[in-house]
Amino acid sequence: MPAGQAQYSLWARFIFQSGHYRKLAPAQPKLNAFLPGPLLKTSAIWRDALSDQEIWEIGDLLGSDRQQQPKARADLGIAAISEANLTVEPDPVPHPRHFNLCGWPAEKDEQKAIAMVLCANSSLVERKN
Amino acid sequence: MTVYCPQIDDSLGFRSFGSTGVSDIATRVEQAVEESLNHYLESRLEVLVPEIESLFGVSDGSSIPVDLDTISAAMQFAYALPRFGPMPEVSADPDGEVSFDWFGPSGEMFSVSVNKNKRLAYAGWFGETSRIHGIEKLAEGCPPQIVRGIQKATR
Repeated sequence: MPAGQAQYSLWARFIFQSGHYRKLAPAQPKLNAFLPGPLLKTSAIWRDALSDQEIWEIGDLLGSDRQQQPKARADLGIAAISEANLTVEPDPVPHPRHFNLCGWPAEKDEQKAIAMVLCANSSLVERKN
Repeated sequence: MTVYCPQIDDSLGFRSFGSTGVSDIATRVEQAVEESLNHYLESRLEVLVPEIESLFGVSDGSSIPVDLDTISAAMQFAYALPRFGPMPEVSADPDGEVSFDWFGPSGEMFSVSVNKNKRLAYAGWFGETSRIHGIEKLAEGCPPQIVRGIQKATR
C-alpha cells in the first residue's frame, strides 16, 4: 500500500449504470462494474470510518464531471485486491480517498476472471434517495 | 416406418429429433416440432433483442459507447444461444462490448463479452476452487465451452 492511504482497508466502487448490478435475488454487482476502462484502471475510494451519506457524497463528486450520480456501489475489503493480483495507485484528485486499481491484464477474458474475484468478494449497496 | 432418433445438440438438456422418415406424416411432425421450437426461441428473443438494441450508444460518460457492429455481433450471439435454459442479463462493458451474464442460486456466475469482431471472452465462477476463462470465436452455433459454462453456473 502506498504511503498516504496506508491506514485504509475498506473500499468501494461506485456504479453509474443500472445494467452493472443485479436487482433480482441474489442482488449483486455484475463483473462489468469492476472492469477497467481503456486506460486499464478502475476507479475506487477508501470508505473506512465514513458514514453512508459521506460515501455517496464522494460518489457524487466523482460523477460530477460526467453529470451523473452513482446508482449503487460495491463494498469490498482490501484482501480482495491482493486476491485479484491488482495494485493500488493513489489518485487524490478530486478526493484524497480516491485511488485506481491497476495491474489489469490486456486480455479481456483475464480481465473478466479478475473482475469475478472482486465480484464474489463484494456486497451491493443500492442508493435509496 | 418412421423412426425419431434423439440427437444431442448444443442446447441445455435439449434433444432434437432427427427424423429418418420421408412420409407426409413424418414431414408434418417435423414441421410441428420445428414450429414449437421456434415458438420458444422467438419468445426468448422477443425479450433479448430489444434489450440488446437498447444498449446502442450506452455509456456512463467514462466508457466507450456500444456501436452498431457490436450490437450486430451480440444479436448473432443471442441467436446462437441454447434455446432452453435461463435467460442471460445483457449490459454494456466499459470498453463498448456487450456482456451476457448468468447467475446461479449460490453465487455462481458465468459471463460472456461479445466485441465487434465476434470475439467471445468468457469467464465463470462456480465456487472458490472452480473457475474458468477463455476466448472463443462466434460461429453458427454456440461454442460448447460456453454452453457448459452456462449449465454449470445455473444448474
